[in-house]
Amino acid sequence: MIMRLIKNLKLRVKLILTFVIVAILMIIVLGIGYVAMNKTADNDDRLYHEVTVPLTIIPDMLDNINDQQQLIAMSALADGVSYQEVLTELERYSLEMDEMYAQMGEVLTDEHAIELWHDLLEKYNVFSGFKTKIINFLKMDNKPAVVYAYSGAEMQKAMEDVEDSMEALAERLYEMGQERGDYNKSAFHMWRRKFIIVLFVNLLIAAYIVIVVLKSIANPLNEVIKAAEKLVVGDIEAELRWESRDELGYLSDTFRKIIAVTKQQAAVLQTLAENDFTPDIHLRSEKDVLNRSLAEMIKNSNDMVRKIATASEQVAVGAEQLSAASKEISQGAAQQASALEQLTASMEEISVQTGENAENAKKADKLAEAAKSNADNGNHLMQDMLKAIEDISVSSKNINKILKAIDDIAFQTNILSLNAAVEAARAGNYGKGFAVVAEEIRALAEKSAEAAKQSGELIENAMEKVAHGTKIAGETAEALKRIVSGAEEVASLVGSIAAASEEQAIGIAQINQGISQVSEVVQKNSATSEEVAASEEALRHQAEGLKDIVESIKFKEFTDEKTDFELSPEVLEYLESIYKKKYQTNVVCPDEENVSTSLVAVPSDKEFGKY
Amino acid sequence: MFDISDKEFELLSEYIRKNFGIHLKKEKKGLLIGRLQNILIKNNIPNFSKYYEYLLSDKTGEAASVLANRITTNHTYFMREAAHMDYMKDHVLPYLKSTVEERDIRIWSAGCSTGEEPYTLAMVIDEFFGSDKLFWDTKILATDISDEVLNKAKKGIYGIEELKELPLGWKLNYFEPVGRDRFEIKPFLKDEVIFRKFNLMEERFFFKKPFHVIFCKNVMIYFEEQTAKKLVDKFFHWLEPGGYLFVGLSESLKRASSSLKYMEPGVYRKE
Repeated sequence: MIMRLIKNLKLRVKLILTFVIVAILMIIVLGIGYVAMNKTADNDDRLYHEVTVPLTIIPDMLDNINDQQQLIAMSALADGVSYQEVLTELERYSLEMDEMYAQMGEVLTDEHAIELWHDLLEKYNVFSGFKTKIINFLKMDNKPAVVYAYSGAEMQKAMEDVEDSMEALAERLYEMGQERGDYNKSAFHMWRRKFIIVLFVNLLIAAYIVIVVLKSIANPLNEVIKAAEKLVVGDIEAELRWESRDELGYLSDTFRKIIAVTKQQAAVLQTLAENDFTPDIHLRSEKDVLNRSLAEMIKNSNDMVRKIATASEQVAVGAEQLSAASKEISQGAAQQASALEQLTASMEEISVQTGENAENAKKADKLAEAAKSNADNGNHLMQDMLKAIEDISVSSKNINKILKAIDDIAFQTNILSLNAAVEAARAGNYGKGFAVVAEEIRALAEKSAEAAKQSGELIENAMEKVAHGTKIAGETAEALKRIVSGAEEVASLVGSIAAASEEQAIGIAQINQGISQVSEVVQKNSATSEEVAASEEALRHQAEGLKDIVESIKFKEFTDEKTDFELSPEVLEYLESIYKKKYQTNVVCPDEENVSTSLVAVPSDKEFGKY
Repeated sequence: MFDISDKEFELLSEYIRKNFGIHLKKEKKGLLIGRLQNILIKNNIPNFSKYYEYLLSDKTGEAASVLANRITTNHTYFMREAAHMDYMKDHVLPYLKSTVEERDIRIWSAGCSTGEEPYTLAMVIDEFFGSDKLFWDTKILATDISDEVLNKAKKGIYGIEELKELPLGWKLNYFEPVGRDRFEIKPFLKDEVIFRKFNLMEERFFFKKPFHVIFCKNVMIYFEEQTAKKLVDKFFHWLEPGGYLFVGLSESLKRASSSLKYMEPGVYRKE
């Protein structure tokens, strides 16, 4: 309860309150001491006033009474004593006595003592009565009466009574002094005890309060210090449990906020460390430099990662294009090589054929020569043949005449057979056989006429053919003549063919050389394409690595800023050049230098299993 | 970005030509820089002259090996130039199966790069022989000059992208998945290929027996004509009569100067 109360007090109030409380406690202690001292002083005072003072009065009173007695005695006994003087003296003593009585009456507090005092007063009054008598006697100057009065037993008794009473009072006063002394002693002891107890209790209370207050200050401070120390060494798991409504509570709260903020920042940084660039940063105030930087860093990182992501994608795409290009080149190279192989094969065939052509041309030359002489020969034979055909024509005409004769005979025979048939019919049964013969003859005549007619047709035909043959033979002769001249032309052409074939052979050799050069270029291109492919592979690996890294990073997909990222012109140019490479037609000049036969720098393994 | 002077380029390209056969014309300056600058950065070498000195002074062969790794172009994929694989299946393997005695077929993949070619060959062979494969030794010799690619080839782990040309059945038969989108050649197929480091520029080859088939595809395209011709002569020497030499589809041997018979694009035969 107190703790909580103390806890929630403002530091200043707390310190002031502590001071006030301690001061109050001190005042209490001092008060007690003061009271005790006062009491003691009081007691001493009372001892002094109630005992010491009356006690000092009593001897004076005794002296006074004795002096009065002596004065009375003197006045009674001695001569020459002026009563006037005695009277004055007595008067003075009486006054003194009254004073002392009054004084005594003032200081006496004890009932018993007062009783004794009253008694003393009574006794003194008795004495005073005697004294008055004596004084009256003195006034009357009645010395004997004075002596009498003085030495009277009553007077003596009154005097003794006064003295006794005084003694009794003194005794009482002693007694009282004793009592008071004892009382004072015990009072002093009591106050001393009280004082010590209060002192002790107050000390305890003060100590308790001071400790509580100190604790209420030191504890949170220590906690804050510990937390601060942890923060200093980077430990953000600092815990601050202190809660109160004072400045220290506020300090703790603030520090808790610092820790919380630090934790938040640590969490953000941890997130960043885990490659997550998506955390949102809220500025705590206009002056939040750290979070502003953090936000800026995150924004920059996001931009950067996004750019990297875009770049890596582009690189990957570029690599893919490179790969496609190099594949295309290598396929192209393969096709080119295969085409070149075919070309080479074809060229070989052409070369062989050209050789054959040259050979054949020579043969053809010879054949043309032979053809020419044969044609000449044919021409001569053709003349002979024409003559023979003429002869055939003449013979045919003769045969035609004969055939006409045969035809006439057949006609006549037919008529004869007709007549014979008529005659045979007349002859009746006897002519029957003859009729048959006549019929036979008629048939024969018909056949003869038919045969003659056919022969005539054949002859006619033959004649036509002969005429045709004659014509053809003429044409043939003409043709043969042309053949001769043609053969001469052929011979000359074949000669030029042979020459051309030789030229062709040279051309083919040149083409072959060209092909081998092209082939070399194709191979170099193929090598280049492989190199490109290898570079592409490396590039792709890098791009993939980059992609993996980028993928492991979470980042915000966009900002309001424009972040288009293009491949650099150099890269684009390079990619383009890769595409263009397949059209490269540089001719490689083979190095003429022989390969050195020195030992190679990278030696081969020494053992090859079954090999 | 490093710069290379004409002199430096000349020295380095000459070194590369002599030792690896690779001919770099002046146009390849960019390529040389691109491929070597990482070595320079890694070894803290300020320029190419210093690099050349380092190359010559290094007697362990490490520098030259690294250079070989960097300067070789290792572009290959499964079923590259499938026409040749078909030719193997349709002509070469039936011929070998019917003629080779002792059931020992020797095939050399010279310049095997990351192993796709010999593995593809091994798959073609495995499919061709089927269950008869048991009785045949068809282990393929696969060589390259670069340790780096040989190590990858020996591991036999490829990305899914690299397998896309292969038929599904082959993917299932010859690969097993390891990790995400990664596939490893099954051990039995790995056993079918002997990977070795071999420099084709060795003056003399020292094999036990001649080969039935030599694949040397898209290797000589990086060589000068003379170097290539010398190599082809060696191949010819190391081929069995009737044996085949496969070169890249875009390559062609000088027919007039070669003793090999042209069969079809990229395929030559020793008669």
